[in-house]
Amino acid sequence: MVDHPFDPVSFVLGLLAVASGLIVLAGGNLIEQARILLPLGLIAFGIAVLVRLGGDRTG
Amino acid sequence: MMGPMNDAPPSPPGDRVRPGGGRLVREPDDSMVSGVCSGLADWLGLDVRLVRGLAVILVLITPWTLLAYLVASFAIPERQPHEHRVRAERVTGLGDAHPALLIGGVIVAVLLFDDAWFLHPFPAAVALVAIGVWLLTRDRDRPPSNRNSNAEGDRSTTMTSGPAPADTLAGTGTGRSVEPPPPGSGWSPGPTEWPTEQVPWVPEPPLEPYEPRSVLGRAGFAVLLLGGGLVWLLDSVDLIDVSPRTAMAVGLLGIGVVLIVATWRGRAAGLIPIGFLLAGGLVLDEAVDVPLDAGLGDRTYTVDTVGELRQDYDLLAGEMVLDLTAAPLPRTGAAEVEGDLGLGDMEVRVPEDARVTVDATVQAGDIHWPGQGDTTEDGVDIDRSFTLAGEPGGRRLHLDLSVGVGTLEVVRG
Repeated sequence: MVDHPFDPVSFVLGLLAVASGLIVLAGGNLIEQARILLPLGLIAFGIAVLVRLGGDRTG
Repeated sequence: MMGPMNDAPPSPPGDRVRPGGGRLVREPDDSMVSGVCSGLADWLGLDVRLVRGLAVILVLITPWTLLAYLVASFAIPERQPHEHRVRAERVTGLGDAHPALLIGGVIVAVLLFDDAWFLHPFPAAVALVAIGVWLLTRDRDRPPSNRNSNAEGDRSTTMTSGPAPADTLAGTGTGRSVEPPPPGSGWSPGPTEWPTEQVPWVPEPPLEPYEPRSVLGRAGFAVLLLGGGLVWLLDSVDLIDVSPRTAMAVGLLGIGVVLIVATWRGRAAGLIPIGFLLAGGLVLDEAVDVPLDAGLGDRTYTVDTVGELRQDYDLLAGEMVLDLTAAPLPRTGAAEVEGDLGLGDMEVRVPEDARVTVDATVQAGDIHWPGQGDTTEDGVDIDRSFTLAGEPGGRRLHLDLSVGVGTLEVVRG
C-alpha cells in the first residue's frame, strides 16, 4: 500500500460507517440517530477538507 | 502519405488489457443497435456473440432487459473515432473473469431460478466464501508486469489517430515507443501507410508516475465476503445465531475501519457504495416492520384449511397475495391475521360474507378497499382503519396490514 495525502472523503465516511455500525450493535436506531450523525458528518467533512487544504499549502 | 485512419483504428498488440481493466465504452463499429453488447464483450474479454445471445435470452425472460439496455445506451459513452479500440484479454476460464461477470451471473440465476437449490443458504454461503478466497488469491498469481502494461494500455487509448510522428515511432524524445507489430499479429497500418513525410514533433506531456493499484479495497471486499459467507454458513447449520441486522452492522463497522485506514494509506473507494448499501439495508430494516430474512419475490398464500391459517405473513419485497376467501374462519370471535410487506404490492382477498375490520398502514404508496364512495387513499404515512360489513351473525376477521412502500389492496373474493 502506498502512502498518500490525507483523504477527507474516506476519513469522514469511515467515521460515519464505524459510528453507524456501533450504534446498531449497541441496539440503537439509525433513523433516530441520523439527526445527530448527519450534521456531525457534515461538520467533520468541512474540518477534514480544511485540514487537507492546510496540508496542501504547507506541503 | 498516410490518410486518416478509419473510424475503427485496430488495436495494437499492446492495447490488450485484462478483463475490466480498460474503459467501458459502446463500440460504434461493431454494433447491432447501439454497441452496448460489443463494448461489454470488449471490456469483459468475451465473444460478442455470447454477449448478444445472453442479451436476447434475457429479453425473452424479462422486458426489464430492454430498459437496462436503453439506460446503458445513454449511460455508457461511445468510443470516439480518435480512440483505439481496446479489447480485454480473452477470458479462457473462470479465474480470468471480471467480478462483474460473477455478480451478473448471480443476478441472472436469481431471476431464473428463484427457488433453486443453489440459492439456499448453505451453497450460497459457500459460494461467498469461495469468491472471497478467489479475490484474495487471484492477484498473487498475476505477474506485476501485467499491471504495468495495463497502465500503458489505458494511456494508449488516449492516443490520437492520424499520422504517427516518426520520432514517436522511433521512440525518441519521450521515452515511449510504438514498435511496428510483427507480421501476422493482426494489426498493421499497411505497407504504404507509415509516414513518409517529416511531421513536426509535438512533445507529449510527461507520463504521470505509475502508482500501483491498491489492494486495500479489494482485500476489504474479499474479507467482507469471507466473513459474511462464514457467518451465514455457521448460521445455516445452527452453530451460531446471528441476525442479518447484526451481520450488516459488523460489515459496516469493518468497512468504516478500512476507509479510515485508506485515509492515509491505500485506496478503498470501491467499498463506499457497499457501505451505503449496508446502511440503506439497516435503515430499511428500521423503516419497515418486516424482518430482513422475510424473503424476496412473489408469494401467494391461499388458505383453505385451519392448519394453513397463520397469524403472520411477512415478505421483504415483492408481490404478496393473501387469499382468505375460503379460509375456515371461526364462528365465535374474530380471526386475527397480520400481513407485513416492506416494498411492493399486497393484495388481500377476504370472504364475501365475513365482517372484516382492517387496520392498515402504508409508509408511502396507496390503499384500496371495496365499498362505496372514496375507497382509495394515497400519499405518505397513511394510517387507515375501515370495516367491511358482513352477514349478521356471520364470521369475523380482523386484518392488521402494513406496507412500507407500495400498494395495499383489500378485495372481496
